[in-house]
Amino acid sequence: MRWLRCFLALTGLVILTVSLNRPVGRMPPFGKFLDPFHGFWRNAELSDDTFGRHLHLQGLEQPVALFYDERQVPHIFAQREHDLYFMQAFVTAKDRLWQMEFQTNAAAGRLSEILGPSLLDYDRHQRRTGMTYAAEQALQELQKDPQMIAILQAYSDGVNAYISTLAPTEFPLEYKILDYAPEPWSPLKCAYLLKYMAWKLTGRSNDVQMTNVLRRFGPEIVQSLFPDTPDKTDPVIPPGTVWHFKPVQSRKPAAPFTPTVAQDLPKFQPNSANGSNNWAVNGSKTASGYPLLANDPHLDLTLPSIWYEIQLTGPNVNVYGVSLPGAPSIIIGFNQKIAWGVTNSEADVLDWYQVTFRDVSRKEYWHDNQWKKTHERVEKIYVRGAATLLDTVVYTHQGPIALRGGEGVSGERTQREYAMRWAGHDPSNEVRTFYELNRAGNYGDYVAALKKYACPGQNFVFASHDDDIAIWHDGRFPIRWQDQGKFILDGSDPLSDWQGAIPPEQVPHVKNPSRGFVSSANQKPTDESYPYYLGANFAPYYRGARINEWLRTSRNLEPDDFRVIQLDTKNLHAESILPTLLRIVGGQTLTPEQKAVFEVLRNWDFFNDAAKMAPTVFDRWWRMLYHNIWYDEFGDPSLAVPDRARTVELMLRQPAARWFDDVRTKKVETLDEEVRATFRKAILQLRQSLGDMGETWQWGKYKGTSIRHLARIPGLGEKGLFTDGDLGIINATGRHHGPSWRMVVSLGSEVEAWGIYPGGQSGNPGSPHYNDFLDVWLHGELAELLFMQSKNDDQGRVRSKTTCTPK
Amino acid sequence: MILTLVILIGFGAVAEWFLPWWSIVVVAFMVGAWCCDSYRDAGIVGFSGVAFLWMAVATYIHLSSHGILTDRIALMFRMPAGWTVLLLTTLFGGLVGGLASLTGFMFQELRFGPRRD
Repeated sequence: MRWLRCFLALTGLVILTVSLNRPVGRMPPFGKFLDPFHGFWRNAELSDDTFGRHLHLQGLEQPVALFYDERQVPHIFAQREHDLYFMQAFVTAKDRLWQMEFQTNAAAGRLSEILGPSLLDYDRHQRRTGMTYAAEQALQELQKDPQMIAILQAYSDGVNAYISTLAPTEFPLEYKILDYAPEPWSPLKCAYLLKYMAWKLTGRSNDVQMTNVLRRFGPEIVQSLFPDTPDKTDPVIPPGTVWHFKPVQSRKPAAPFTPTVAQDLPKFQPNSANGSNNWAVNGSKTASGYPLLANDPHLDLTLPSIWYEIQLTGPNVNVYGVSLPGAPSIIIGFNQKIAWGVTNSEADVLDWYQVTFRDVSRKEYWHDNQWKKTHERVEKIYVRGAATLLDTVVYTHQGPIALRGGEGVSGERTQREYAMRWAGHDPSNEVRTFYELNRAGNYGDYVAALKKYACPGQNFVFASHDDDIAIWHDGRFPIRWQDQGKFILDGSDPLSDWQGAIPPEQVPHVKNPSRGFVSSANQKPTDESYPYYLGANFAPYYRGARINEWLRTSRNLEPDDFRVIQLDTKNLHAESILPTLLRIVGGQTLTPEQKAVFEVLRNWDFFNDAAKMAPTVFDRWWRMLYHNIWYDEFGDPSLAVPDRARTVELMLRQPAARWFDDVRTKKVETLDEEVRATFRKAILQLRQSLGDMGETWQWGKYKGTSIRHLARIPGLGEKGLFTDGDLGIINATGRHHGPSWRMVVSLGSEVEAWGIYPGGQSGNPGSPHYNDFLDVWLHGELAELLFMQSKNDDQGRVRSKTTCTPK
Repeated sequence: MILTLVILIGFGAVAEWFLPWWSIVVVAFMVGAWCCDSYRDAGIVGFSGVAFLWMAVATYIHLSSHGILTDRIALMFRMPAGWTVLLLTTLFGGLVGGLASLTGFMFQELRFGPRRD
């Protein structure tokens, strides 16, 4: 009996220990996690975490000098190219290993492996959109470039050298929370990271929703509500620029194609606010007589930050800037002679083709008047705590079948499948472009580097100490007939296929325009004279026009002026419509409360500053009005909705348009009635949720920016930040989104540069460097960047020096 | 009992330094089996020994890192402040240690029969 009791007790103890060693639902394994010898406690940084004076590393070829400055930015001085990228990877992994791996796993559709079945839908989406295929294609292409593949191998070896120094106790915090372990790095993971970025920047598409609008409302209304060229534009390339080339002609199908109404919609779309600003002025506009350049990419704000600052010095290269953890080289930065930056092109490089299969086996599809063979890829999805899932993805020559409409419409089902054609699936070698940009010394080098670039298309802004400035709307863009790809395309017609790419020298570009500046803000790249159709989803004129207004009217610019422009919060959207709205409301008798709010709006200067109340009222009012105008007819989520710039144009020019009537009521509403009703309702709503007008109505509080953890783990992000700006404003800080890196570079005999991002160099939530840049960013300041000219040039700012030697 | 405590804390620290976290369970079990005179003794020694060990190390880390991480983990667990995570760690350590020692003592009884103080 006593034996039995002992046995039971021991069993209980073992069960307890084992269960404390395992995760509980979304909670970490408690015993393992709380134990101060091994658990999360070990990730708290007790002293500044840098390497000692010496580091012996297996895999290095020659000694390398590694410095950390007081902002925890590494500066690498290597004698061999191999060592340079090996060390870039090593130091990046030290600060960001978990992030590097998590992002590539997200791209590869491998999150259910870590997080369990709840992520299965996401993973399946990644596989069905061909991310695995895209990464393999990229790697195959890279293998044709021995120098680049050698760099990726050196980078991989560097990550793995770091991983091999880690005991499980030293794994980054998130591995302990989610209870898994890092796996070896390889060049394929770098390819995944590049595709992750490509998807973020080009993966959004509204072709299906536009098709549904076309089917429901007809071509005239599409033309009127979704015009290819909005009334107001201020293109990237100065209007009037002459194109000195003979364009390649495209052949258009004789009859327009009528697609079926799609029922499934593309899922997991990237944030529509992804965009950026960049600009450069030449010496004629600066106090120094040398060019100045600025860039601020707007992306989802996360911790750890998407960017990692670093200086890379090696044979024929000394470059500083931000890198993407997981890819070699600097993506946005400068060297002694040039500076460059990027904004997303927004050109359309993703189309949908309606495919007709011969039968349900989907082995053959109709194209060019014959049955052609599909090919299949079997995707294996490992799921934590559940059985492995096999998913067969069918590919036509266009790409993967990523959308399957109309399940249940028996007999018709085979008619309704859609293949995705995406530039990200094509072989390309972007690594080469950034490698060459890092080493570029003049305009010629920059153009040569860009010629190899494909996807995601970017506006590459450029300035050099020779006083050249330029911007290339660069990438591999398909040659399209007018409006090709605005709607779902005919998958059986060869004339609907992409007919090659715009030759690299014919993409929109300008060098040293007479106005003395270049700029871009994701808006339409050219005026109507450009001979190719690039798409119809460019950003409205707001940010671009405001930047150009600044640059046109400025002289004797100093670097700090560029910072001021980056922080500009003028809301051009409000300026375009609010006076009209107030005129409509003004003639009415108002309650004292309404009168007070009206006065706040009337006295507003249209700047979205955090401490003002007017932006809050306007935002709520506008959203309600916009909703009321469109959601009676366009409320179905399978329809595209006209954008706010077009809505404003309609309100100003066609105030009697049918859209302002609410078709759900018998009465015919007018625009004026809608404006007045929403004004009253907006105030009522604000009072109900925020109390009487006062401090709680401040824009910064109402908006409340948060920077979430990359895996959305609570507690590891930042909430309730009081920020200026909004989407469509130069300072594009939204709720979860905004300037992810701000940089200003002054060229000349000595390059000087400033920059900041909302995060910190360390990816460890237990490090003081996890978010130490955040305050500087919040205050609208930039940090002076330490650009070392030699190993001895520490300018009193180097905090630690490590000599790394081969083992 | 003080000596038993010191043995548990000392061996526990050494074991945890070199071995996985559950080595503390084994140490507390062995201390219960070999060094304790009663259930009460085993329970108190096991609980307070491991609780003290975990608390001491965690407090040292908490203070020297200014609680940066402890505060975030508290938010993650939806607990009010960093010190509650410290408390949770201490309690968990104590609970595991106490149960292990008690089980250990049970085996001692098996060999020597129940003791009377």
